[in-house]
Amino acid sequence: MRTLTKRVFNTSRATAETTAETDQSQEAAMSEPLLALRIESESTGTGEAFGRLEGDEPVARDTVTPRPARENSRHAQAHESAIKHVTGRARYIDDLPAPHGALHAMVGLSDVAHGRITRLDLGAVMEMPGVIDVITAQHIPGHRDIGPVFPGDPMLADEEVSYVGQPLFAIAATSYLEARRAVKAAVVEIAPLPPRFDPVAAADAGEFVRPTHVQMSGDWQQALEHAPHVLEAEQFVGGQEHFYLEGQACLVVPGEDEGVTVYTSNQHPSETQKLVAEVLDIPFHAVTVENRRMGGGFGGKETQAAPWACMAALLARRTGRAIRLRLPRAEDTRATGKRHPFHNRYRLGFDDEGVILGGDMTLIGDCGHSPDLSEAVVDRAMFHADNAYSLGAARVTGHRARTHMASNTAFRGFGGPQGMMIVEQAMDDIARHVGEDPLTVRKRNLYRIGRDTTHYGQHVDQYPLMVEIIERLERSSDYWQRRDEIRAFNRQSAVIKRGLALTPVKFGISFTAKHLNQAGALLHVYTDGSVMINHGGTEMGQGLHTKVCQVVARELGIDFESVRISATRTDKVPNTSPTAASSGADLNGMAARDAATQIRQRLLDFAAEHYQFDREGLHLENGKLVSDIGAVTPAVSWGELIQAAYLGRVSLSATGFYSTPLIHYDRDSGQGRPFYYFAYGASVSEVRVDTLSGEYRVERVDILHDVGDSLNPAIDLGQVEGGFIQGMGWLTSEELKWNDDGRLLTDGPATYKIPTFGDLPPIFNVELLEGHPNSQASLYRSKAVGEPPFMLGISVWSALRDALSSLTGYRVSPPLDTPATPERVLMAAEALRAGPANVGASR
Amino acid sequence: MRAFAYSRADSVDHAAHRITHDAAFVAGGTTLLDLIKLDVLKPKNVVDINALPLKRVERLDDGRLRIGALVTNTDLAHHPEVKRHYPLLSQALLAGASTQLRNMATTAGNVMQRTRCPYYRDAAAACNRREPGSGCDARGGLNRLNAVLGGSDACVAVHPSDMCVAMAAIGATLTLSSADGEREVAFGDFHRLPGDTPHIEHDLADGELITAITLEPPLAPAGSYYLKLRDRASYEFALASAAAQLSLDGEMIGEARVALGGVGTKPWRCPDAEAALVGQPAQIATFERAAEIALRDATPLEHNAFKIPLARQSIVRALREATRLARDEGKQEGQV
Repeated sequence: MRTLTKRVFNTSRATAETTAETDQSQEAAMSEPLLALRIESESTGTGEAFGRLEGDEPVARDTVTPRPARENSRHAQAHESAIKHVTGRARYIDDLPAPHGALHAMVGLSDVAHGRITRLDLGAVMEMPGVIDVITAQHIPGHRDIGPVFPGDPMLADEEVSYVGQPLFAIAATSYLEARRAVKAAVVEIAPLPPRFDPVAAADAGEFVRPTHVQMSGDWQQALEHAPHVLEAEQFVGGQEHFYLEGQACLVVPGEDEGVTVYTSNQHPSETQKLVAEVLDIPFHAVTVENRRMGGGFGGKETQAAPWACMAALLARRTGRAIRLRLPRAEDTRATGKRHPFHNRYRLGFDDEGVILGGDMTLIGDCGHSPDLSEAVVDRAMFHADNAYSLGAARVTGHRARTHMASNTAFRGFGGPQGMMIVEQAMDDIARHVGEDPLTVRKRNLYRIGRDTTHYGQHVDQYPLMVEIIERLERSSDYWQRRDEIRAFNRQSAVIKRGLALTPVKFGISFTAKHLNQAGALLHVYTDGSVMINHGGTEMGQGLHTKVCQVVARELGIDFESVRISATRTDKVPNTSPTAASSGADLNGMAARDAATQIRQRLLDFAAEHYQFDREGLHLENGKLVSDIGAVTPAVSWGELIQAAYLGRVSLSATGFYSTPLIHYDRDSGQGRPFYYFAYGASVSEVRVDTLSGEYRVERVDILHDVGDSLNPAIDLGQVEGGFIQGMGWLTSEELKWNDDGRLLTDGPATYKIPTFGDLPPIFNVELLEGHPNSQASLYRSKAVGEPPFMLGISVWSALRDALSSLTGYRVSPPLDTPATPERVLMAAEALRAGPANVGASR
Repeated sequence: MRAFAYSRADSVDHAAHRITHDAAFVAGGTTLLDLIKLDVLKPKNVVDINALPLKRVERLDDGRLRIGALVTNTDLAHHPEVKRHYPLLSQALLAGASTQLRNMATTAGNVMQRTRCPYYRDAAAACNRREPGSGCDARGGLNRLNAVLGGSDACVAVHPSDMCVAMAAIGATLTLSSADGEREVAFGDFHRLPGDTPHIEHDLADGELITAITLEPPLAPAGSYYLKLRDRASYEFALASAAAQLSLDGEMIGEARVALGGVGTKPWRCPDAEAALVGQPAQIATFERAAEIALRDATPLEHNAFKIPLARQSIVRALREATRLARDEGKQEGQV
């Protein structure tokens, strides 16, 4: 139960160390049987785990099948498209063959951040070679506003423009190059209005895209008044470009009626179906949206893939020809929103031990020009302003500032990472103030008995798991020994400074918009025994389709290869939620399981009657009908059973459905249980900083991450590694820069730096925590894995602050805005050298 | 992707005969195929030269090293002769691109590689190099990565190669073959400055094929170092790079070679800086003076002024490392 999955990159030295560490951690784990036992009994709690859950919500079907078949789903099955990915046979949107006569669409974008359109003359565009059609807002028959949740996003700007890169018009031409050249012939005049780029100024002026929300637990003012120590600080947390490898792209084919079929690189086909139908002013059933896979999404295709499909659909209906729309990278980057930059502040009171008693936190999200998903993004930032720590009596305020930027949107973590950053900064600051190691202070502040309820009222039931993860990682990474070595090294070394940090992650799983926590699936068994599963989730490389096929194979007792998955289509499974919030497998896996369970029940009922077996004890295993009560003779294979069932006129098709139980949240009181459960993890990062140039390297990273009972350890490890690297990129090298006119200067790979293979830490130990199933009745007791590991990257930022702090003998906690580029690290080092008076954060 | 006629050449003569102004040779294809997909290059005929017998590396009697045009970047970087006598070249090759690309890319292909200027690679942008007379969007655009040396009003595109920077410093000769026979061109004369005709990038005429590159004999005893400064640790072009090679005469510099990458419109040899090094003490002040001279004529654009101090610093650091290695080398020779 305690065997570890260990992954080591690099050297023989690391391998040798790893072996030693594994032994050590196993030994150490066994020396603490009490803690382990407590967690075991809490997390698998026998009575609740295998039955149905009580509650006023729709409930999951019987949630755990205590059968050996379990091994099948735990298998580290390769990604269903792995071979196709590496051979280039996997088809993305731009690879799809278009019907004869297809046209290429291109979009004209605003060069002005804020202003009124005084002239939009497209006569010259129409005259350009190859141009067939041109559309502006005036040509839209239906809705002009395609805001996904709240209004505010015109498909094409009508009178006012709100950011550089906003679509003004779209054209269709006979070739891609002609379309790109023709766009440049437009005559656009915009009378500029004063733009606003500073979210703090916007918040001060009350310029919000959505109302401010507040969460409160206890009397925070009194807590501050009576606290022996009070600290306050602020931080800027930068945004992040999604940098999906496949850019925004779609292919729209007009149908024989009034509708269209839309092939789109898209995390939310149902929403795109709705918006396309509303723009065209036709019923939803006239629009079919399909996606087989994306070349990455990361949230950037949750709402912001829809506009391009809407434009292409309108051009397709007007011209009667298929339309391809693929944005050039620079335009894609300028026109679409990013991760929200945040300005955060805290004022926290704590005792002599550094334990937080209470205080006040303010989070200002830079939402850009429209609401998009910002209501929920800033909510999630607020829900994670505590990360893994009890804030005591606290007030958390979240503002949604309106600026003249592209509308910032979903991005892996969905505000959670930005919220966590403020409390992680506070942990470091408090530790310096009380003269303790930051890890000591972090551990003292973790949720525990008597401090187990969040500032929004959710009980944290698995808090001992966080404690265990940290303690195990402390040992496996040799945290304290390395801490001593590093302190000694830093005393000797004037310029090169090393830093070390361990940071935890506690991430809430569920859409905070309750109605999105539902999913559907459609399962067919054909008469040769092959199975087709379709569900509402989309594949963006994360392995969702692989996991869902594994679920179906396991439920039907057949091998993985017998199950095939087809493209996500709105005419197969309707009214779906976006593949987002890490919930793809949780929701769609459950829906697929529901469908497969129905088919299995039908087949077993049929078999009992047809073959005259005892229904009790019949099940499907290894492609055969099996009975726990006596042998099934003669043997009945899966294929024979299906044939017999077909001839016996049994329906071999089923729809499945799932909705997450128990969750609720009341915005008026700011209290509830928005999350079905929490996923946990922790990471230790070590950095080496040249404090005269700001240049640094991440030398070693150790990660221990909780995915409950893993659905697929290979895929989950990949998600943990990739999430960490992407989180590290967000906080270190990925810098978005705009000029004074609001034009994004970092609009492609030449200027915007995502980490590459060479940026991997040379020692990178990643483990999945084993033996701790989800305490909630999730899919086979697994946990969501898409977003939580992203925030493991925070340890790199904290380690940089640790290295910098050594310049002052660990007395001062240096402010370090993000991304912590070498430039920012150098500035921080210079400020520290100039004396504490020049350091703003800690006092 | 646009259609083109594909054929395979089985001899150098055969290949040279096929090449006209609307044709292109393909070897590794790591630049050409991308640019065809991007509508930047539109050859009607593509002649595959991979079957030609140009894959040998051989030491000539005069001490020079002759490298076949089709030797891959990987093979060249790991060739024993190169590692032993031209570590500078090996370092530069390994600093470029990724393993996968180096496995495909060839020596002559690297010499012929096109600029990574984003406006050159965007068929809808104005670019005099791609479309003479259309203008230069880089001048008023995002030009952080463009050149500070050798630019003209017509073009400020950087030559992106790392390998060529090392070859410029080492000194080399290109062998060009055509139906009329062979001719040789000094490496430094092969690439052209953009001037008013940025679309003419080099000295290769229609009907000519690079068949070999011959390196000058190595300096000895000498140290050399290739320093590449970039935005991230791998798979990235240089913001500035410096190839330095020098021999020592006691504490004085004997011979010196310096070339820059990432900042010039061609692989940028710095003869004036070299002259300022020869006969001077091998110390930081000397290196700094040489660096100053090397960048004397540099002209920044709106977003790339930082490249000038960066290039200076890269020269100083590369010379410092080269000196250290030259001292080590000298000690070893002394012991023998």
